[in-house]
Amino acid sequence: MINKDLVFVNSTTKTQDEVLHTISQKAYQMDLLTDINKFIDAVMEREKEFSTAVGFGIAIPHGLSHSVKEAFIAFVKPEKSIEWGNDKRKVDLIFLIGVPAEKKDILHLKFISQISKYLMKEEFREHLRSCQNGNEAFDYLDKINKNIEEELKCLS
Amino acid sequence: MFVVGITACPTGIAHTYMAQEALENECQKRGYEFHFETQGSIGIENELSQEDIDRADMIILAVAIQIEEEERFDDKDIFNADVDEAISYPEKVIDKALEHYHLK
Repeated sequence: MINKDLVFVNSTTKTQDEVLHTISQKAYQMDLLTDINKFIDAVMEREKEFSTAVGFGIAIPHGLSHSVKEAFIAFVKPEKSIEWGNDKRKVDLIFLIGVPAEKKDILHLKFISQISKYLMKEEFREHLRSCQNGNEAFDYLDKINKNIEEELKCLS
Repeated sequence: MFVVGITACPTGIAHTYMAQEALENECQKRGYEFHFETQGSIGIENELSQEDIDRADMIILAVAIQIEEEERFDDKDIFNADVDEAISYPEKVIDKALEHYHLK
């Protein structure tokens, strides 16, 4: 679920808009998205309901849209904190999630729910903050990915 | 102390589960017994039984949508909380709930 090409550490993106566009562009190139604008609209629509900047320096924007071909999670750690949402909370760990509107894949949704829980752990956040480059962050997220897969196997 | 509750947000993708985790952690920290149901995109998980609900000292609904099987709470005294607040300030939510139930 976590793809190396969707992990950006020390990204020079400076605004929420820039983050969303950069990732969506990449996801489009990777054939995960069919329409960048439609996807961003879905994310912003969700953002309007209430901000996805949930505290602890985290934002977890997500879009449920027909423009998503396959569920994905992207991770961005910008060089400097970014103001997020209507209340302009400062965030430095951003997870952008895309979920297809039709074919609901329970495994993907389960995975996202588990990652959301991990985000509530300080150790997880601090480890991500200490990553110096995309490879380090990817390796860590991939490890978590595998842990979650194991957990899910046990549950099912 | 036995605390039960439900967490649910509009898309049911992330906040629902973060709120569950935050409230569970806070209850654990305080040594409470707890059971939180989630109503998210996957549907109902960790479902509360009527027995759990009847036995609970506090019922916390941190929901931003109409929940399913609401009839389980008919005639119950419920404490309503924000999903957002449950994630960012679970200690405040639990404190307010204690006040609501005059358990403080």
